[in-house]
Amino acid sequence: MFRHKTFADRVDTPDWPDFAKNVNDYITAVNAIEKTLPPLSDRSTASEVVAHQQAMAKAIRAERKTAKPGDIFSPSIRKRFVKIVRSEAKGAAGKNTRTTIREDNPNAAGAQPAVTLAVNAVYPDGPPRSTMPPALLLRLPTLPKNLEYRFVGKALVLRDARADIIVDWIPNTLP
Amino acid sequence: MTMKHTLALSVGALALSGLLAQQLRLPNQKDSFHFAVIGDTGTGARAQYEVGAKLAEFHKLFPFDTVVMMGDNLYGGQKTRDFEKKFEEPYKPLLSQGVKFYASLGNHDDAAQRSYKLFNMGGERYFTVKPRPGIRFFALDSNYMDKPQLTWLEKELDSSGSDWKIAFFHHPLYSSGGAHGSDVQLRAILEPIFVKHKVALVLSGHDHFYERIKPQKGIYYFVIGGSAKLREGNVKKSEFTAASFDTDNSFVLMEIEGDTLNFQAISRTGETVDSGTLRRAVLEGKPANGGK
Repeated sequence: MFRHKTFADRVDTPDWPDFAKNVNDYITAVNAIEKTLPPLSDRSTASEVVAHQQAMAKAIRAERKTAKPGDIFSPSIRKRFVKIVRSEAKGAAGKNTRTTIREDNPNAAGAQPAVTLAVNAVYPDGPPRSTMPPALLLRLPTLPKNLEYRFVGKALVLRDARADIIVDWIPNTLP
Repeated sequence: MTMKHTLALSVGALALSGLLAQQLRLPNQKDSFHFAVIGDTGTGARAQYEVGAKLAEFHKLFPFDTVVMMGDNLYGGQKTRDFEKKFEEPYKPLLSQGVKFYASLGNHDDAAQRSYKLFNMGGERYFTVKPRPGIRFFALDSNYMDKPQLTWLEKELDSSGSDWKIAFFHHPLYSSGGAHGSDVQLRAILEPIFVKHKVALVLSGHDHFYERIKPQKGIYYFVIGGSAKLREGNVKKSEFTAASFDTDNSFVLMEIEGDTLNFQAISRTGETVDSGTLRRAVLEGKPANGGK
């Protein structure tokens, strides 16, 4: 009945060699961690899904205990991301992008609980995940399957969806 | 329990089933494909359970083996107990009869849900499912419409020989919701693909009400986001509204036979709030009740 397609777990970013290297190093390390855990099938029970995610987060934290902000988004990479995000969100043409970023942004005014930005921190259960503006996503380097960009307040966050943890972030990506 | 009580209960059950039979408007043909649509369900609150119970009641008269979910499957916590309280328990009568639920991801959903067997996502954020020859669903992740997903969608639509191509995802391309409304940027990207590949029907949620949209470029759109949450009075009727309902929770039953799709939108209390027939070839709606 199903016909699933998956994509190579590689970053297809020829114009972003430094970022691609950082991301691929992370993915290689995390894939190795995952192989040490009981495999998660696509027919898992709720408790298996939750247990796998928690085990992944715990193992990643142990493996990356010295990780710090900027390991993935190094200063030169940050500048490029900020430039793209701001140009996409600028002026009248950027209105839809700004609206999407604001909507359900977990650190927008009044949204509770707030998401604490820290490397290896869990992205908490309560807040929604901000929707990524598709026009912006099409301008940013494509990420491997289990990584994603999200906005938390003005910051652009790199989140590991498999483990539900924050890998890195760029503060004040938006003005 | 006395014989008198048993008799009274039986008479009551018969009366209820007769009442529901009167409320069922679809043709309900034996060999047609039946499915149900629910959206923005995962609250675990009373309204979700009541809609789930009503859905199960209609299932007895209108047997369907497929339910598609428009996202926000679990609000708040995403722990084991949340899966139970916000999904398994409200739909237990249907799950126990083998009804398959196919979920798409909303902005409140953790992507880990893709591995949960009862959501039948096959471990992917986006997937296709072909429940019958000639009918194919395309479940998308509208939270994260990146290049790989768009490439996948084009390829799948292009290679699909299905007559009925039905896309479903969380954020509506057309909606008269005061809280959210149309996702114009997503529309600019997806609509040309849907038109090019002759997608017949697009189902979404996010806005917590029911709305049927007038055909847009030959495509029918529905917003079905009020199956647990409700934004009462939030439909700000626009030029593209064909029918809407925002005073109670709702779900939709659909039936496909050949080039015809019949639909019936039903409230939490069992009232039919919209119904009609769509034809795939030209997709010109003929609402049975004038869209009221």
